Amino acid sequence: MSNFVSIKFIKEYERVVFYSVVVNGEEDKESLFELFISLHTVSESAKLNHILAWIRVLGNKYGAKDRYFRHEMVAEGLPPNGIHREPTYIEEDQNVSNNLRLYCHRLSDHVVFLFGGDVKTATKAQDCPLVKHHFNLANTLSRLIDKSFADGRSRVG
Amino acid sequence: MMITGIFFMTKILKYTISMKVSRRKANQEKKGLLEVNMIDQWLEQHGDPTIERLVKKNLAISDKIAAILESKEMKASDLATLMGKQKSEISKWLSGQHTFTTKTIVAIEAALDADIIFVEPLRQNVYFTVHSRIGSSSLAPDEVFEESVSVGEYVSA
Repeated sequence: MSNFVSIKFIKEYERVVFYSVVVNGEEDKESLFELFISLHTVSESAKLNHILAWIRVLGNKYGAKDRYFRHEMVAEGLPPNGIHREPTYIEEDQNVSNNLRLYCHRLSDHVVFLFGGDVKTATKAQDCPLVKHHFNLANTLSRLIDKSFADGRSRVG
Repeated sequence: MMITGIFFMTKILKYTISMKVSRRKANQEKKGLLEVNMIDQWLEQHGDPTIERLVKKNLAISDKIAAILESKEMKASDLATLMGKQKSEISKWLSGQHTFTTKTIVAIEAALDADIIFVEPLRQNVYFTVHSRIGSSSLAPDEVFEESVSVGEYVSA
């Protein structure tokens, strides 16, 4: 089976540039990240708000430091968490787990690729029917991107 | 900062995936179309200011803790040992996603012997008008003094 992906520029903030990818389409088509936003705007608005606000603050002020991301094999994920704890955000004055996962790939403190994601319903991503595909795709794309840079076929200019 | 690259093919797992990178330099005239500012637009349209403030505060606190650790040449594991906590707990604090209680912040401050948060001092504004004496004693009391244009504000230290 043959697929191709196009890298799509999303947004350049003061400290971080964000990209996404379009699978089997040109960059004028909807990227994985745009699809993620479209799908969760209504059903998971508060959790999506949390993630997008996070992205913007990292982009504007702190940069994409490693400790701000959760490690998902080769890829990374948002929101981050401790090693054995769920990430939390505030809902009705209570710490509530934000189980909405956005998979991404942190290339450096200044370049991040945003992919897709969904609500994680199992402890392991590989066991969750909703995020499993996104997790696997994110890791595949992350390896592809890393290889592209390692081979010198792509560079940050 | 942008990513440039060439079209190439690579085999990953069962798929053949090729990656094409947007040639942003070649499409400068279409910049407005290429940049997708969905993050800011979504936050302006759907965002809850409370969530954004919480994200900023949490990140600011975690960043301050990280800065203090660095200034003292300490690692996260050192803080864990100092406070009798698991390293995973410290990692969660440093991820910027944890919503701290005042009690926890104070405990960290005590352990590090450094302030993480400050409460701004109260401002006391005292408004005054300067009057200067003019004319002769035959003037009515309300005509004796000329109201100065100087109106000052005193701010206590």
